[in-house]
Amino acid sequence: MDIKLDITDRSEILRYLGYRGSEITEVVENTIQEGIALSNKLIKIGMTYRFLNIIERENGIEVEGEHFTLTGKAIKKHLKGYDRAMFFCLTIGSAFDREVEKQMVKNPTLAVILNACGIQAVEKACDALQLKAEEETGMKTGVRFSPGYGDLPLSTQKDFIRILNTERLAGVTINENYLMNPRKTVTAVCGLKKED
Amino acid sequence: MNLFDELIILDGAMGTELVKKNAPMGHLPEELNITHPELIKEVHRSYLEKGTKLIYTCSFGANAYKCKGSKYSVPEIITASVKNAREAAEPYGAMVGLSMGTIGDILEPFGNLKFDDAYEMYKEMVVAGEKAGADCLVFETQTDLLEVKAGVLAAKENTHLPIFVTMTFESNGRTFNGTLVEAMAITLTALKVDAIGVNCSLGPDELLPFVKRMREVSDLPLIVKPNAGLPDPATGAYDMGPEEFAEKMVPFLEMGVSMVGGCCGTAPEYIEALVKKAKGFKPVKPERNNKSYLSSGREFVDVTRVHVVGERINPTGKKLFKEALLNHDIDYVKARAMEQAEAGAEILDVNVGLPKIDEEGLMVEVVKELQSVVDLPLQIDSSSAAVIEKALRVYNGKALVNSVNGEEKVLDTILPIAAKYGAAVIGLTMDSDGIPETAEKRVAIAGRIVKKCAEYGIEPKDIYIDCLTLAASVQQKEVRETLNSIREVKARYGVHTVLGVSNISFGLPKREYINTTFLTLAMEAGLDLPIINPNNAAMMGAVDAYHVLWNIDTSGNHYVEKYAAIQEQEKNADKGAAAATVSGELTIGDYIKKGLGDSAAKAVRALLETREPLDIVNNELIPALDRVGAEFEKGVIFLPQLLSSATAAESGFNVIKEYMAAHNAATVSKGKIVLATVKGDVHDIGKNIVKTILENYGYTVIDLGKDVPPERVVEAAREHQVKLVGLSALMTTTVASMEETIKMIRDAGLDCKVMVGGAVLTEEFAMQIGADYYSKDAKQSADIAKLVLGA
Repeated sequence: MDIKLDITDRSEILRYLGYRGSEITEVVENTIQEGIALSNKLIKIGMTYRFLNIIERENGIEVEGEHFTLTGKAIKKHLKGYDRAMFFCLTIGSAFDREVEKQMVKNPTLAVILNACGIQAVEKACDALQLKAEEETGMKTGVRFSPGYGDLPLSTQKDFIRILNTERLAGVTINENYLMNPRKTVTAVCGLKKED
Repeated sequence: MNLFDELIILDGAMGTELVKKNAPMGHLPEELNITHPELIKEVHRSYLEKGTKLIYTCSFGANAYKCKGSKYSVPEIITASVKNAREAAEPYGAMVGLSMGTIGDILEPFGNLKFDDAYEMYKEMVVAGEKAGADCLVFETQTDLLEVKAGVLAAKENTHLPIFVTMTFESNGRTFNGTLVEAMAITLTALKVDAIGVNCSLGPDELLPFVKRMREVSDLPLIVKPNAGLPDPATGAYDMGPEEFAEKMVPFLEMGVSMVGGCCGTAPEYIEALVKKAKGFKPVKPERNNKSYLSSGREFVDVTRVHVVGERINPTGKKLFKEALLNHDIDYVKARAMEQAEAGAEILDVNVGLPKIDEEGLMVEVVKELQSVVDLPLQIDSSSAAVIEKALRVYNGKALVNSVNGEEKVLDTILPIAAKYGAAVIGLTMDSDGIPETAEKRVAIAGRIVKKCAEYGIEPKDIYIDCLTLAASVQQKEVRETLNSIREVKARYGVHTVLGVSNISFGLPKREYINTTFLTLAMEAGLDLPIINPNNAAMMGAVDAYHVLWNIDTSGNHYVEKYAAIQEQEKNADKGAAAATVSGELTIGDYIKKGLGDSAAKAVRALLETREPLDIVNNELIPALDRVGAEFEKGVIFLPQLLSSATAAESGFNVIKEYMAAHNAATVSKGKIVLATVKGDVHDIGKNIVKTILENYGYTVIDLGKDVPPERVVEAAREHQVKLVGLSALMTTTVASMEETIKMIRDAGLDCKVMVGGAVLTEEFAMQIGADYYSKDAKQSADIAKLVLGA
């Protein structure tokens, strides 16, 4: 599976940047265009996903055969009625982080714009991945849910990283505070079921 | 072990075989070495039976980071893994390699793993591995060359075992973190490991070009351990069967690689097929190539034409640079590096020597930070052997050391260090008697340097002789001696040459005429690496023109592309300037509002003719920023616009700074502020935005970076006697270290206020953890600074 992305949604990027409708100066407009072009060049999607059986338990949702339970009320509610789920990790790669770091010194305006492009890119890519998965399986995917949402502990990130073998397959690692590297990375689970 | 004698067949995948045998794969499969040794041995035997001659232990993730929480220690797991492999291998007369994967955390500055900690973790593994009886050490599936270097140094400094390194490349010829195939091969060849190669991520077809590229730049034995083709991400199944896999391995065998095996998706049948195909093949020892390579972790230079060394990272004679170093302004240094890279430098000289400065600490930090933003190889420039060694340790590539000279003592101190880390060296043709006047004497000193280098195993191609430039205004007749020495040392010793050029015009008017002409003469004499200011267009032009005239820049492609664009730009700039004059009447405030940095700088320059610098700062730049800031607060403009105005103001502010430095005035600063992203947190975009704004309000920011331990904040606040510290944290998990930092500042009894900010903070929470101020955005931090330090 291959995901091709084109980050051209200027209005989405403006939304991430907290834009509230004022006049945009020429310099900033040019920088937005530069950011979009640069993003399209830098983004290198890495991803890994698995379809797994899930079982509802007292304390949360058990992932079958993986020594791993997603704990909490929120995830129970979120995955209610599903017995299968897609687990995935998706990143836009480390070159992007490096460029933001660089531009923070050289051109901070471009750095924050790139950052917004990155957020948009990773979200869009996740949408695309879910669509592809639906085509592949002929099933419907639910809304994605990530470690740290609701009462699902952020530490669950470690288990996502492990069961998805993200280090080898997508180049994604995690530190002791559960921050992922590259920075623009999403791990998530979404329910999977036959269309009603 | 002579790795060119016999082809060695390696094993295939371990993990999938364990799964096939229904092994309980928990959080750490390496524990199976202790809990289920028979299973592990079975997998080993399944490969040995098929003809594997070197098996890898099941210890891929057995490092201190990944083993946290295991009931077994790292040495226990390592020892068991070697024991299992040994017992399985013995009956087959096979060897055992200790497998080591990546640590699993990212090195600074992108992550929080410290180089020294990575070193210690690998040390623990290799020492245990050697003690348990491994035959060699294998770093595999590696993605970060710098992490590999930590491992290789740990291995070399603590064991006697052969070292093999294989890295994992993506289809673009880079690892996930950006390490380039050639950069890896050059760096590890210089570090004198025993074999290098590739494993995992791709199949044989995709890896073949990478292995060929390695062979181009390295004469080390090669290792190839591909996956069984490409995986289906959903099922994890690979697309090649055993026969096809073996068939696709033939080109590697024909190339003469030394070791072949398989990685993900390969099973014993694959190795069986491979053994059949490999019959009759032997490794081929390559011819030595005589190129000198320099590299970073991401790019490399093969010195086959003139390459410019940028000289701007050096405080000598540069007031603002000195000030930046004293204020620990690493961003200033980074900006100088990027500027030179953009101007066409291909190597960067790095010198941070200043009296009363911790040169060792600063050099290490600067090297680490520079390699996070520029791709160019670095030239480590210091008069201290200790500084050079520290820098070479953390340098992610093959560096050039600046410098040694003909003095025995200097040679015997620096050369062993250069040799150990595989760096090339610059040798100055001078000794304790100074710089000889004649070419003959300088050549003789070069000869002594070359001879000494040979004793330490440094080849002539990696020696860069500097025949030294003397001022034409003082020693006019010796100019020729320098040029003649360049010719002679190259002819006689087969070395490369390097030369600082601009000294030639010292004391003369219109220095550029003299400099460019001398540079051209030197290049004609055989100069390889001129050390110059790449921002000087005439000097860069001379180099580019030289490449055209000597038919090195074939068809003048590079020249035409570069200068046609510049010519076009100049034309447009003239038009733009004319238009600006016509529209006229724009104030500095307008330029700042529109984010026009160049125009703001020009306007400031014009004002400086009639007004005092501080007057301009207080009555033009700051009020303009205030107006923009107020609009941001009211929601009229958004963050990019605030930043764009702030950077335009910065351009104006820089003109003032340069003016004051040139007129020997005290620096303009409204006071110092320490900023840090707290320990554990590596997201610092918020802190950096605050920094940009504060600097443009005229405050000096001591930026400690990210993942900063509390002690370091206290130390900096004390050392710089600041009245205000700003702390940033992005994650709920790191707010605790923010609280700890505030507490430590209070306990130290420092008379300073603390402001905090970050996505997860609120005013209430900020007060709860003991901060004096909560800053909701960058603009507010400037207001707080004004309150605490005065406007």
